[in-house]
Amino acid sequence: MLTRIWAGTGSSNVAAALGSPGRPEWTVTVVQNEPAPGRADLLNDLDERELVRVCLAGQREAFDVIVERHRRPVYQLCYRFVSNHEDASDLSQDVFLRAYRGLKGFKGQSSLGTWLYRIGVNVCLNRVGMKVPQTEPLDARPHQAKGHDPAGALLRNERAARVRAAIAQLPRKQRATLILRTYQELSHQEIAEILGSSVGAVKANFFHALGNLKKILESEPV
Amino acid sequence: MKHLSDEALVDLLEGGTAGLDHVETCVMCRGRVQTMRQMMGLLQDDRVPEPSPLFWAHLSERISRAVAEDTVPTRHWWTMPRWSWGLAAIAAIVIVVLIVGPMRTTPASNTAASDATNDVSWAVAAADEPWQIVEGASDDLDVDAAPDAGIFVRPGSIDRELLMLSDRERSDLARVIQAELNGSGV
Repeated sequence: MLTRIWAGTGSSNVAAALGSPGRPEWTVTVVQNEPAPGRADLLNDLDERELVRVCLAGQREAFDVIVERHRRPVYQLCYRFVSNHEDASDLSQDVFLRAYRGLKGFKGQSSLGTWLYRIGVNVCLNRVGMKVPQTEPLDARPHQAKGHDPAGALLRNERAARVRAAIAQLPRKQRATLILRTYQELSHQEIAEILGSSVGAVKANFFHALGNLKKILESEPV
Repeated sequence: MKHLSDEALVDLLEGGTAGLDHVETCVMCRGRVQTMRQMMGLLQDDRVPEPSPLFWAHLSERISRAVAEDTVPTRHWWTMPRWSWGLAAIAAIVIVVLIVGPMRTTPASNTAASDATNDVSWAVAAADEPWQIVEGASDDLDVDAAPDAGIFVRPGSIDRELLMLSDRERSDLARVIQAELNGSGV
């Protein structure tokens, strides 16, 4: 008897006995797995290395779990580079797609988050190198915090836009270091792993980034 | 007087205490630390706007779809062992039989169909026992009902399987398809 367990995400079990006269009787049992929630729960319990292993074994749902765990920091990283929601969404998708393609290359020497940041920084730097970032109009930003002081909020927004424009003018490594350290709150060690440099170089880049930021802001008319 | 290094200034900015005595007496280093603090204050004032709650599910869905349409991140076909090529060939043949099978309009007793069956038998013999198992199992399968049973062909999977075949296997497959087409009167 040949029994084939068919992986699926349905709710019913299907068994079909197939055969024809003159031939040996073969029974093919097609069993659909338990409903998806049980399977999803199982994947949610896995740690990152196990998720990668399961994904590489062909279970793509494991990658959905990876996306769910890391989508927010990846999106925020991308947003910091492009300053608008639309491009940040596109870049986030690109980051995860590249991660999926390169999953085999993830050796687990750093955390999956650090590895995704590395891909993210490369994707973002390549993108911003080709395109001038467009900061979206203030009223187009989703769920902007609404304070009780409209004038104060406007002032803060304008100042933030100036700072973002100044960050966009920094050299690539300084820009990446500043974003990873200040906004993503990564350690110097993690940033060194992401950028492929030493901790000392990261600190020096951070120092120069802050100094250059001041120079750029001072050189621009208020 | 020796001033603090860039690294030492960053450490100081982030709460370190080494060099604190020096900063209290050195105007230049104190000025640098103050500049850094000022910039940090400006930077921390700017937060990423929180997207709509629905955005995260939408983003996941987009990524999942893009990944599904992308190639599978498994090994390349030329690195796979020989036995898996055979399995791939069988899988491709099964897919072809499942697709071409319902197109047959002439009865099984028809002479043309009989000839075609002989040709198919040649290919079956080449693929040996596993093929016979698969053929026996799929012969009477209603293709229209297959998706309900959870059996379906993913887009692009046939192309992938065909790419894995050797020249000989492709040639065999062509003969099987030809035989099936002859048998169905297409």
